[in-house]
Amino acid sequence: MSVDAKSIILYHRSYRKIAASPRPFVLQFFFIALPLSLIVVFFYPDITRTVCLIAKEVLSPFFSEGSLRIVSYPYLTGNAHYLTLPGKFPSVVFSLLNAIAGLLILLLLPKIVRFKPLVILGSVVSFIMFLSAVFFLFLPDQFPYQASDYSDLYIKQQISIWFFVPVIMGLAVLPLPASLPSKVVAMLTSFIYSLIFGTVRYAVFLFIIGKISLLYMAVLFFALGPLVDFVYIVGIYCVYAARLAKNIKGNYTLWKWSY
Amino acid sequence: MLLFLCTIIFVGMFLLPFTPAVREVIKKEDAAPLFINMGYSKDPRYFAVSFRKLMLKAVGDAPEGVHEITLSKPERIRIAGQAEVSADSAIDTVFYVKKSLKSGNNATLRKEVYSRGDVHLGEENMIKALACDGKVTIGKGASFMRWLDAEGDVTISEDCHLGISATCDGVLSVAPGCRFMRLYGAPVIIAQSKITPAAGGKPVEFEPIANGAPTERGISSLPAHNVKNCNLIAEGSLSVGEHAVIHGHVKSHGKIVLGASAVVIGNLFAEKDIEIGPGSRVYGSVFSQGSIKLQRGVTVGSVGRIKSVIGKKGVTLEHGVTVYGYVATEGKGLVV
Amino acid sequence: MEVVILILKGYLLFTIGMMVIYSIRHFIFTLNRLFYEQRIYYQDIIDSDLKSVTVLIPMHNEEKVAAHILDLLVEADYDRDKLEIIPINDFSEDGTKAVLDGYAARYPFIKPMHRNDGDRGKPAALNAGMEKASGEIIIVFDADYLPPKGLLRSIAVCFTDPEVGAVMGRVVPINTGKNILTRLLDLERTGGYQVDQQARYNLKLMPQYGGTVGGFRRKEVMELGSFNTRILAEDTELTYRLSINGWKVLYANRAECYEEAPEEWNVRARQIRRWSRGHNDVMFRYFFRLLKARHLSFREKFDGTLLLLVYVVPVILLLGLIDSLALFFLGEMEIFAGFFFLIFIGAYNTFGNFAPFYQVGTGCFLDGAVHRILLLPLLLFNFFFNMWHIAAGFFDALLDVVTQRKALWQKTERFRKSEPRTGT
Repeated sequence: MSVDAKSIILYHRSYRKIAASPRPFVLQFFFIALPLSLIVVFFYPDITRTVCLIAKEVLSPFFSEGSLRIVSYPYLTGNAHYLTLPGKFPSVVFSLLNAIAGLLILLLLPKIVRFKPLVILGSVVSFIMFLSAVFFLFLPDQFPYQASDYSDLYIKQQISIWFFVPVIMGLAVLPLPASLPSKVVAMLTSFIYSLIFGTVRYAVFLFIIGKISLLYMAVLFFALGPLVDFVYIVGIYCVYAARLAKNIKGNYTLWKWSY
Repeated sequence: MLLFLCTIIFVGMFLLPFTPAVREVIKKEDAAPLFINMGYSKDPRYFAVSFRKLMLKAVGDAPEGVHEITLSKPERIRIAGQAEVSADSAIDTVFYVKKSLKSGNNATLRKEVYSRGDVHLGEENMIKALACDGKVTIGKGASFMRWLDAEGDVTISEDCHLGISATCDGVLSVAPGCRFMRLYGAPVIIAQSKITPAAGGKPVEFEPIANGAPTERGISSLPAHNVKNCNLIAEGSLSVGEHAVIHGHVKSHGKIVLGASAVVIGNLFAEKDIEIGPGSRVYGSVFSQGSIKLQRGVTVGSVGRIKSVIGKKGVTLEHGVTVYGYVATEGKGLVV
Repeated sequence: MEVVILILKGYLLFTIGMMVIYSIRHFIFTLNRLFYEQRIYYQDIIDSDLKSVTVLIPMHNEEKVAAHILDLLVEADYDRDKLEIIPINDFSEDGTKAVLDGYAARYPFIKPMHRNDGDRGKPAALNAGMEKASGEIIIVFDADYLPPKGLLRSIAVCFTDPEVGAVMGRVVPINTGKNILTRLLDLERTGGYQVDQQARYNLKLMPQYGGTVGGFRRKEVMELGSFNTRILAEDTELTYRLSINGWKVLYANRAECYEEAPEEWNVRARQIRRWSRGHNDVMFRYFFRLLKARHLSFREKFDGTLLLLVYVVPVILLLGLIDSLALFFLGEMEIFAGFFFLIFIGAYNTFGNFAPFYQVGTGCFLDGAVHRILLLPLLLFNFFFNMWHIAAGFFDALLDVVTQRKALWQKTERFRKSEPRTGT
């Protein structure tokens, strides 16, 4: 009979802490998270070019020959690429219809939908749409962007998202008491997810801007832009953390109490 | 076609992170409130009290012999009247002794033991847990895996390992070389095992510290033989000289060092270590986020009152220390 | 126009900076809670000389829940000679009075107080209760709370430390599984208490007294002027008033108590708007006083300031989003496209308690929870909801300050229909 066998206390959650040092986290951050971010720093010219090629391939059936071009320009330490395309300028009628729709949604949504957060989220989106529609109604010549400008803004934004996703995921995931390979998998998953998501979103949004209307540019930029990237960051994190929590349940050696 | 595919992928990748959440909302696998034990209240003798209840309910009027009972899970139990465990032998069942229990040297009691009479354990015994309704004496080098509790006095010899808690309703006498996490007694005395513990005295009367008593801040030392009639709050460490008297509570954001024969009529709190010099007297509780060392002859608390010595990282008790109440640490508890 | 654009750009940078500062702060809290030394509370102290306690329970139309809390408090493990319970019937129009009088008839230490004149609301009720109370320590519960047997002892024991002015325990929702809202609020509580408050306690910053499941010294608080009845967040105000006057506010992670979380979004909206209004009222009053406080260290002041601004940040963020919309339509988003992403770090902060997703996840992890961690993406829905209502509360507070109008107390609606199921 070992004296230590059952001499453990089941630590109450109040002062439970991980029985490990935070130092590995710092090393892991520098050797896993930062390198992924540095991939973006060093290879964003190639990444953006590839994204543009894919988008061009996807959109070419819908645009005339030559209207889709990949433009390269100096950005930060290298050249970034974006796709130029003609935009669909909204007509007065279209703008008016969207303004009315935006207003109606703002007024009717609280009455139709009971789930308040969706009401507010929907209201914000429809308010931006309404604002954009009113802008095109009254100041159509003042609208400062072409479709290509949106494309350029998107790429710049996406570069920073690709850079920050490993950083944010690293800060969230790497402190958890899990094996190194599983952390690497989680980090790689989030990074690859952000690359693919950024690419498909680019193609879809350019289609909307180029073929449906420039009016939706503000909505796409604000409501369905970076906010949405946090959804998959948090989603991957929570699946990882929940799985880890399940695996370590009952593993008392993981915990210390108070110090 | 490619655009359609892209759209599907985009929508899918946007909604995918929500699916585990939606699944959990629907299935409610983890929707119960966090468990709070509504009946929980701090009791140093908690393990033994709940064990006794379980045992008495399970045993009932069962005769002597080996039986199957259910405690927290099904167990085999040996019920005996007077019991004697030979040297070098082992008992593998829960053991319920209706009268007294005695064991020889190197005996092993692998499961919980409940004795309604006195218990005398030989040297180098290994015991999982012991509840005793009488007095307990424990030979040198014994090891408890979990806890020890008695309604009467407990006398523990040198070099014993006392598991998670050693508690009693009488005098808990602990000899040097013992290791512990929690002790509770009226009082806890550090003494050689063959020395009779000091008899209890009369309760000490003193003026209680009034709510709203004055407080002196910024103090870092109190010279020897000085007297303070106020609470003291030190932003850093505090050093109290020999024979100083403090009629008030003391709080330090650093260490506290009390010189020999100092007197504190109040509680001591420190963010770091506390060291109390020989022969000092603290009438209140002593609490440290670090370690506590009570040098020889220190007394904490007084007859008729329960106080505590809580050192998060360790408690060291020297010979002659007396604590009226509770001693606890999550680090190393040592009797030297 | 150039100046306007410059101001707009500057403000956007400021917003991004604030989001980053708060994210870093919460990341530090998360790391501290996971890895570093935990400063324990005093719950292990056993002391036969605990102070006398008066439990105050403000009640306005609480006939649904009054009996539940009183049934638990009569079982409390506290010396009856040192305990009195004063349920404060505050202008109730239902059967609250009858319930309380029934308990008073059976238990001599339950001494209800019935108020039908004077100021209404919790701060005024507490002041009246403190006048009547005889205990050295006041412990406050809201009427829907369910205190375990040893909770009074756990809360009272810390006042053996001469520096402690107030203490706050941990609030745990009991109606977690009711709907999405209660589940999200449970997550918010976990992040806020298990990680945020405990980390602030570990780092010797400023844990917050939350107005329930907590206690304070009666005489000292009365000497400091008792509760200001013009402020809705009397708990936040007490935290700062005590801290500025040299008292410490402790956080007791082990002193857990069940509460009833709001079950409807409109109730939650009113609650969070009230919290924001009250908290921002305190912010207006205490911002400079905090910075000048003699008894506080630099880091207490620094974090105390961040804590004071916690209900301002959503307003900053809302204005930042409007600002960025303006810059967008002015054609000036070019320079910010690369950093705009960072503004949405706030997206997964549940405002008020301000717990980012990694902090909530860590709290669930420490609690041993598994599947509830999967709910984190749903916190996105709280983003605009909280931002909107907190911003509304901020402007309420601003108007209160400018017009010197008095805020009217509004109680959170109760939903309990039957005996609560607790973990016994």
